[in-house]
Amino acid sequence: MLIGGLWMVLKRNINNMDAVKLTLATWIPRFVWFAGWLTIAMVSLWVGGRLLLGRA
Amino acid sequence: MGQWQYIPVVGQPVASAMAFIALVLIAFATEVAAQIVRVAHEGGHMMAALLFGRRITRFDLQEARGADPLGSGATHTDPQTGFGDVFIRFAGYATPPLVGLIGAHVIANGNSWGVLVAGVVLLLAVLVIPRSIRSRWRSPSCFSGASSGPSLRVDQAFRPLSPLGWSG
Repeated sequence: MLIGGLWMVLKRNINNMDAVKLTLATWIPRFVWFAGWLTIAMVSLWVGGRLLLGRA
Repeated sequence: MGQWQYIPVVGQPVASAMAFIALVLIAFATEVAAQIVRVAHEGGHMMAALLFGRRITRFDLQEARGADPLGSGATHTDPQTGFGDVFIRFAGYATPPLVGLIGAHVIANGNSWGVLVAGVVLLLAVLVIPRSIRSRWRSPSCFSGASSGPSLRVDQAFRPLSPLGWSG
């Protein structure tokens, strides 16, 4: 789920439907939403990976 | 590095077979993982919608195809306006990594069975939350156009019980 979540964000990139609709609704650029998701995914992978590898 | 003992296995039949099996498992796991991540994505939309007391009117999942290895899905809520809609849309891509993080935390605490049981319960909840009066698997053979792959569609005519006790 950690890797898959990051993979999904990267695969869909800034052109995903949720980002488009969020931009239409809020006028906040798509890359901001994409950056938010990417940050969440990368931090989760980093922290989760450390937890699973026993280095936390 | 003195504690490591290197064993020359690369190129040997057993090592090659293990590598092949690993590759098959990875390829299979990728496909399975993509579907589970997609369910988690739509489940995130659903949970956010429930938190905002929205009514979930429909839930679609479409199987991955060659051009679209992730497949697609849609969670339809009613109404679809306001700040709640922004949160509901944002929750989709944020949910799988956060669920993974929670799972990693639980596993790190030694409760891997808990993660397994919670996963099964959540997968069932995805089907139960939009209390279905009409759910079916669609396959290309069911439709003349055959333009879409197999998909799961769950419709509902009832209002789900919101955890906040309020439904829009």
